[in-house]
Amino acid sequence: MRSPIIGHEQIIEQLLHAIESNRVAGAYLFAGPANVGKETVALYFAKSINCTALEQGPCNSCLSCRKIDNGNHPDMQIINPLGAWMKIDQIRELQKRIVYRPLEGNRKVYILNEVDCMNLEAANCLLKTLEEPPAASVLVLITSNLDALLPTIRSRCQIIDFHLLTIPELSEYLVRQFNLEEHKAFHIASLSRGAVGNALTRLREKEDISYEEIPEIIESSDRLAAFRIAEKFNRDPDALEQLVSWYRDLLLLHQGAPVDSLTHIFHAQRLQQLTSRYSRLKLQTAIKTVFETRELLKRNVNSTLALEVMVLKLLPRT
Amino acid sequence: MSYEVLAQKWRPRLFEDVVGQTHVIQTLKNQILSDRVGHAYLFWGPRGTGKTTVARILAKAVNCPNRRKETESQQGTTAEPCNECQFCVEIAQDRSFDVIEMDAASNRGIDPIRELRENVKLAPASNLYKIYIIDEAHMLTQEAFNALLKTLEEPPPHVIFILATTEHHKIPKTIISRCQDFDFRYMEMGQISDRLRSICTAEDISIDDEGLSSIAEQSEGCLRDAENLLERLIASVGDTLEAEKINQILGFGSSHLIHELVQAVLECKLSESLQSLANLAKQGVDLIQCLHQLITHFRQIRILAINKNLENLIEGSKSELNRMREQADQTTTERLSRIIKILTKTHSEIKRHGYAQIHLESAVIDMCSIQEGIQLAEIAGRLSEIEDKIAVHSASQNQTVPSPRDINPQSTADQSNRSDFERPPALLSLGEDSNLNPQSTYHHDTNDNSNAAHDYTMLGDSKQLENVWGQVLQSLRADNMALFSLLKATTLLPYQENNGPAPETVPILEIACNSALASESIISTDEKTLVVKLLRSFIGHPVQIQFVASGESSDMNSMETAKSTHKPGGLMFQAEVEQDAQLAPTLNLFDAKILKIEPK
Repeated sequence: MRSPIIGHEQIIEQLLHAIESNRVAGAYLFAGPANVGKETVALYFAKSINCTALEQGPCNSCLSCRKIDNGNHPDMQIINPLGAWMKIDQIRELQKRIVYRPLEGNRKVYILNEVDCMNLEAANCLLKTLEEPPAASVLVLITSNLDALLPTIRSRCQIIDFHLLTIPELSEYLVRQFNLEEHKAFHIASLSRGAVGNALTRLREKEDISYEEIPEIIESSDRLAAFRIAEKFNRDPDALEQLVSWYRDLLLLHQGAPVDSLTHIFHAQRLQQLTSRYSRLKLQTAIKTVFETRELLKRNVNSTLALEVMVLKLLPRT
Repeated sequence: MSYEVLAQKWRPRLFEDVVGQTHVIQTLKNQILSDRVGHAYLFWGPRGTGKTTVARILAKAVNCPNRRKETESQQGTTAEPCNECQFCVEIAQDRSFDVIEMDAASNRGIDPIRELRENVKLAPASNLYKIYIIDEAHMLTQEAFNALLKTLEEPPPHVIFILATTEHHKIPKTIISRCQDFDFRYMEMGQISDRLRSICTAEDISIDDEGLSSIAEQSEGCLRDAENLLERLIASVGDTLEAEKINQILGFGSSHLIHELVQAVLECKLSESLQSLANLAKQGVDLIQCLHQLITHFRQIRILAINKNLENLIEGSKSELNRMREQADQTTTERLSRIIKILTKTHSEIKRHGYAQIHLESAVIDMCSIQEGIQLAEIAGRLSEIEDKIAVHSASQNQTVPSPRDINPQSTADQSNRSDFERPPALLSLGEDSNLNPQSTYHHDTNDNSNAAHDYTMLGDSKQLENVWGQVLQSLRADNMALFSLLKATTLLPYQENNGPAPETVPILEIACNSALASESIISTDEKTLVVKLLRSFIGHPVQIQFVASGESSDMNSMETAKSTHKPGGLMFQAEVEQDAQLAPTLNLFDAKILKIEPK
């Protein structure tokens, strides 16, 4: 059966190949951006390992597959951080259980989510288990922040890198799957930056996604409008994420890049006109400013103030 | 039997199989052969370099009866365990009673150590030595370490401790000093590819040299990383590995595309660079990986640009070297350094903010817009030229002011273009002294000589001058601390108009200082220029300065100035003292002479 997972074909192929050739390692580390489908692939992998009728992917109908789907397979366990951290006791619990043989399936599968949340003790505690896991077990560690992990953890796992889908790839999928109009799909895809999870959440939560418009901040030069614009950003943080891509487009156009490399192809003409208002340095500074503001907003700052300062910095001077 | 990953399957079982670490292996072998095995070892070094492996081999080697027999009969030729006898097999399968491998990260408290101390006393069950391998030792708690100290210092003769860790700095000094300290090092690329090649041969897997070297490079000198990578490649591709496939799975941009990008950047062809970056992104390569490749590539070109003969520092095939050499010819070291700086900065920004593509594009634009050949020194030179022009300009502005008498101090400050200075308290008039020493006079600028219009008969008030000098010194303090400390003991002498020179010259102000400062060229021309500039900004029109030794100055208005500025023992000072009403009779009475005068 074909995998229901979008993208990551290569990864799935790798994993299935490993199962078929009996080369499944004891420890995997799935690393990649958030919401890109790591856990989905991990579950798929767990099903494939234990499926009784494996043929190019799990059958999804055998007992084992259904049990995993329902989350009551005795040989599969998902471990999530308790609160902010994954604690050493959770790892010790795992170590106690992992030594037993699998009850039903071929191998016990442990999926550890957000392993970058392991505190130092927990991470070190896991080292020996990772190095030589019991024969009939597979550990799948999942992280969106590979650099936050101990190098000793990384070195003991087979690292599988997950990538964002390209925008056209994702939007094509959205068109196929949800019968969206093309420009809408493209818009959602670029808003979610190629992470499938983001796109699906967006689809679920906001049914009406309006046609994207050029952000006011780029068009306006009225310095009094700054506060209104800042207020808008304050209500809709996504717009801030999106803003960078507009400045990127402007920068590319300013430097004479071909139109098809743009994110917002539909507005190419208008953007081209707007480039005359900026210099290269200004656009680069603008991108930097947006990133810095984003960073600031993650900390404990007065968001209104930070956004107002940002908008004032970004508005073209008349 | 379930599948064993390569890193486990090919974990060396003999000393001679261990890759690299010859300094450790040789020492251990010698110790075993001469029967001088220590009682406590500390193995430390980066992950995947062989600490646990060597610990296990050591455990087998000291216990293996076959080895001992052989050594006795053949006069000590081998330090390797046999790996066949019952003891070796038991140890390999981790079921020996006498080799205890302890996971210190899971058992990090004091209790496991107390238990260990109890067990240490018991004699080994079947072997000669009882060996404790304490892995991840850095995770033991402070208490646990301390509980171990006494045992570690003088363990029973049948016990050997081996501590292994990646974090040497977390081990207390007291523990380190009780152990023999062995550092494990990163392996060289060549050693890793050799090892991988032999594994591949044994596993019946075909792989080309380029693929091996990209795995080795990716592993950063840690063999386990390399073996895991190989494992993953075999699992996903199969038994025939080719460089292209490997690069694709590792997320490398194909070297062809990277080369294209580098070439376009070096030629400053922006749209082509952006195009090849887009191509890379389309291929689905990991852009961060790609950034690493770019940095490495530019680094190699830079090395070649510095010296063609440094090829030995570069890994790469002949054809690649030739290509790089051509690229090195196209550009300068300076530009390459700046490109590398931009790329490393981009890397840290991507780590902080994400959005790799946007950051990389921005970096490419930056790299293409760096012009060849503008050296920093040249920029600095141009800046100072501009500064000089501004200075001349402001000076000429001052000259156009009709009558200095009416100059508003505020506007003077504005014209002098130095907004960070306090505004001068009042306009000053300056007298002039005829006792100039032409050698030490500094003419600031020939343009300033047309100051005939200025009237210097205005107050030569020493109070105001003192005030101005104080402000000048304060500004100096911020700009040039060294000059400030040289000048802080000096005074600006009041200006005497009656001895004035011809009216077209700029007034010369005297600065009283000790004779060393006046005669020797301690104060450089540049520094004098600075002082002149500052003075002008406070006084309002150009002046010249001259350093005079305090004793030589003709101007001796007050005792106060003399006290603070004149060198004790100067002629003038002595004459005054001699005439002192109270001192003179005393001198007469004793028929005495004054040898030295010190100020109060």
